[in-house]
Amino acid sequence: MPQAVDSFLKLRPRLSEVREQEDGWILAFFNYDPKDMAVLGLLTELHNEGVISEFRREGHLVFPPKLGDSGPLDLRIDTGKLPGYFETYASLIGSNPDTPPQEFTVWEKNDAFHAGYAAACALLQFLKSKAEVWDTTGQRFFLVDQQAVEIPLTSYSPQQTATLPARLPSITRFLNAEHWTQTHDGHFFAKPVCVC
Amino acid sequence: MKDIPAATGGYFFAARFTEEDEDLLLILMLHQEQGHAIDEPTLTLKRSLNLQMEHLDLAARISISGWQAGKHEPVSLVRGRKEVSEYFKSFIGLHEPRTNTEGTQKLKIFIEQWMEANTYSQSEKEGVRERVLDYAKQRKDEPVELNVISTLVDPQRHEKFFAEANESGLGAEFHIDRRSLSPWVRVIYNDSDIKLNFSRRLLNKRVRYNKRDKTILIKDIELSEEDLR
Repeated sequence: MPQAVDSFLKLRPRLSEVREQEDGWILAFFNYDPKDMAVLGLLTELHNEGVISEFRREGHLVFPPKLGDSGPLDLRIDTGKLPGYFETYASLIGSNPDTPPQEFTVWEKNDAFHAGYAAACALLQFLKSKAEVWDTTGQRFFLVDQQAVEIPLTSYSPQQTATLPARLPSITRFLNAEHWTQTHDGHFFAKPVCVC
Repeated sequence: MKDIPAATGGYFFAARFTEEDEDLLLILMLHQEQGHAIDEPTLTLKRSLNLQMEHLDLAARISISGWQAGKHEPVSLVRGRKEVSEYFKSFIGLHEPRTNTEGTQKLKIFIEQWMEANTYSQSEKEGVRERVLDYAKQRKDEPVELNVISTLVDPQRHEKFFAEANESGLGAEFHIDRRSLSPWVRVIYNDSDIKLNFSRRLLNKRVRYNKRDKTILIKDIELSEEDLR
């Protein structure tokens, strides 16, 4: 695990009202206590590494180690300096929908989501191996038979993956041998191969 | 000092004084030149010696209380038009470290505060960080000069920036620790036709890079009509 992520994980339990933004910033509150020298060292280290790009006290920029008296601080955290760190499985899926990063840590602890994400990636990798048309811009691909089946990559949520691990082997076995079609509501299913 | 070319003329000046409870020692080399002035009683021209204050190239401000308190940088050099000579640095016993982590941190914070106080936009801030980083890289193992950084940060008010930065304890020249500026480093790609520069936090968000195909996709780009003609 990168050192910056390791250090950030020590601070993360003490952050509150954590908000992850689409452009990669994480905003959070931290209740600062100047007597806690260990945490001051940690905040300074994370600032020097560029992980915490800004500390604000009542809207004013402050810099460690001079963070002032006790009180809440607004932190602006740069996820670009935290390679492989994700607040939630939703953000992990949003940025890596079909291929897991080589090494990653998700703050949201949920074993079902973890297994579901792994199964979803395995399924999407399998489907991609059958893909006829790629749309990199739209983050989707198409399976083409007599009709085209659209597979959007970033449209699933962690909750939807909960039952996938148990069903993955049979789905892939089934899909591997059959052809595909799409219903009016966007779901796809396999149809038997016509043997004439 | 025998290996260093000797100074050629000038007067050594030293003053110890207190400013805001700080015990300070000022050391400088003064040069004077022959000039002319008007003799008031006779209203005729007379020869006069003038101190060349505008050419003050060799000066050091030493914080004695800072030095006694174990401060890392008790000495700051005043820079004129020329490099601060090795002779002068050697004479006052100043041995600069090759990298200066504390000075670099101080510079980084001072620049961020300056940009905040002068309400720079996000893109202006990014521009300043990029220019300062480029300059630090260009200098390699040579010290950076505060007056150059001043013009990179604020070309309109570079003298004010220099004066306030110098007053806050930043020397006129110092070795930079480029690792301390790593938070400013962005993803940069340049070839003869394309220049790309973006924050790493946008990877897999607005910016998608396909390593296998060596392609990059950037979303939400708006080019002006003029650029597209």
